[in-house]
Amino acid sequence: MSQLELRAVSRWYGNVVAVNDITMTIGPGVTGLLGPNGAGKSTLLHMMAGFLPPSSGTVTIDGAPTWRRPEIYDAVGLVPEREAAYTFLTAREFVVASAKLHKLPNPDAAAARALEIVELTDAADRKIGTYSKGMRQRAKVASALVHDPNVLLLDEPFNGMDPRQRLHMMDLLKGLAAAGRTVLFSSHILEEVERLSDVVQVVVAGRLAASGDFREIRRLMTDRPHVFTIRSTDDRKLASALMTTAHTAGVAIEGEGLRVHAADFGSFTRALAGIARTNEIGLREVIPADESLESVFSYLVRR
Amino acid sequence: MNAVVARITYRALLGRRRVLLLAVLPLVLLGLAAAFRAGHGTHTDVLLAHFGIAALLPLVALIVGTGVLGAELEDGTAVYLLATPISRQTVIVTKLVVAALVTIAFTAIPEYLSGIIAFPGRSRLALSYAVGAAVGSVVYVAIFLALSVMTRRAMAVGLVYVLVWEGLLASFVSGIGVLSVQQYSLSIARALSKAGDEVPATVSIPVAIPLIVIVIGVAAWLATDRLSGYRIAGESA
Repeated sequence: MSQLELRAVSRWYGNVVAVNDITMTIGPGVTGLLGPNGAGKSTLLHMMAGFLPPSSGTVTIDGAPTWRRPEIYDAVGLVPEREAAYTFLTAREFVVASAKLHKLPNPDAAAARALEIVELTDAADRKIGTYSKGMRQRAKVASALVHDPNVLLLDEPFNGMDPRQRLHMMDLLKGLAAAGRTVLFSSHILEEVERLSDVVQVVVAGRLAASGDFREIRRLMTDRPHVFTIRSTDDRKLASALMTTAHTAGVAIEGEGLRVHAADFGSFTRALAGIARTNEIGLREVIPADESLESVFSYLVRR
Repeated sequence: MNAVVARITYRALLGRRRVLLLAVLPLVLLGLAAAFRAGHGTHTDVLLAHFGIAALLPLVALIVGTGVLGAELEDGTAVYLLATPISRQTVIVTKLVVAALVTIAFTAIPEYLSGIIAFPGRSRLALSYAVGAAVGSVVYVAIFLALSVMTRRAMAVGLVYVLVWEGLLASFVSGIGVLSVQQYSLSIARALSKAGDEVPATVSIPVAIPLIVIVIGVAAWLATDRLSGYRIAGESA
């Protein structure tokens, strides 16, 4: 059981503030670090992994600072975002090397186990240079897992993976979490974080915008007013029907369709089809007008 | 020393295209040696000192010394090495040993061969130059390794250092010889060969040896210290 702790951590590069006064504690289980690109997620991860000193504040694992302390890697595994790899090695050579650098008693067996976990056994004796992006990613994960670390840090681990590999990796991370490991991964994709993490830390523009149970954050995100553009067989009839329900906060008729302010995302989208059917109106188009992740994030920041 | 680091370093180094350049330079020296022999050349210093020690040695050491760790730092693969509990001092010492051995193979050995090819009967002189080149290899790669951890432009900075400091100033300004790796090599070659002024060295052995030890030590310490504070470049950096 390991605990990662950030206290009043800031990191700036010259005049640019990448991370602004973040305090968070990350314990066992899967934690998702969610935020748009450029929000400071990688900077945070690098500080946690001991590859960047905080400009102010402290970053500790089980009470010990991470910066300039190679011994933390006995307990920490890092999967960096960059795709770089020793292309002239096979995945097995790469992972065995990692096992030996961790001074494991049986490096070959540890490497075989790690390769098995990421389902790379069949291709393990091919050079990494011949791998697809997803395979390289899994080789990196195998190398970070080989010493069975208490803390696993992954920077955008699902990039370049196909949906099946993604699911497999999610199962893998969930399994580690169930075994009491502290797993932290960064992502800019809401669905990844939603499917995988128990706890979410949302970072926007270097600040911690929201933190805690994902369901809570999801509720905050979905309970906000949503705007939809809807086209149907009878816009005026639909407008009046929608206004009779509590799911709708307002409707405007605009040229080619309706602009509907939903009271909240979940109940409105669930009710819409039923309302249309009861009134014998055909729905032609339902477009959320502000569904980009950035708008969700900026809502959280303004809140 | 760490065997895993050494093996990966060696494979990475010799797998790169730069290795061709490493092979070409010694071949040029051997070619010149053959020409010397054919023309019955007698100026041992021109071939072994001015070409071998002053040109071949620093260039090979530059390629190897900046490559053993610098390439990994640049392409990001160093993270896999550094995200392990291996001591940074071990990493530096290992990189230094591999770099030195490769540089010796590509400089001291051809230096010896070209000496006995060009000047039959002067094998003691050839061997002395080879030992000088071997010692110079260690000092140079220590400097270039440290440079590669301190700046991303190690190759350019190193080249300027070789051309301006070692090439121009140290050859023409006698006082600077004390701080010239080229002069350390020549000093050793001169002492071992007992050939006197035939070997153009300006620094004496009692001065050169402590300086050699100091330069290697300081460079290795600097490299270790900088590597301990290795940072992954941030998003905004």
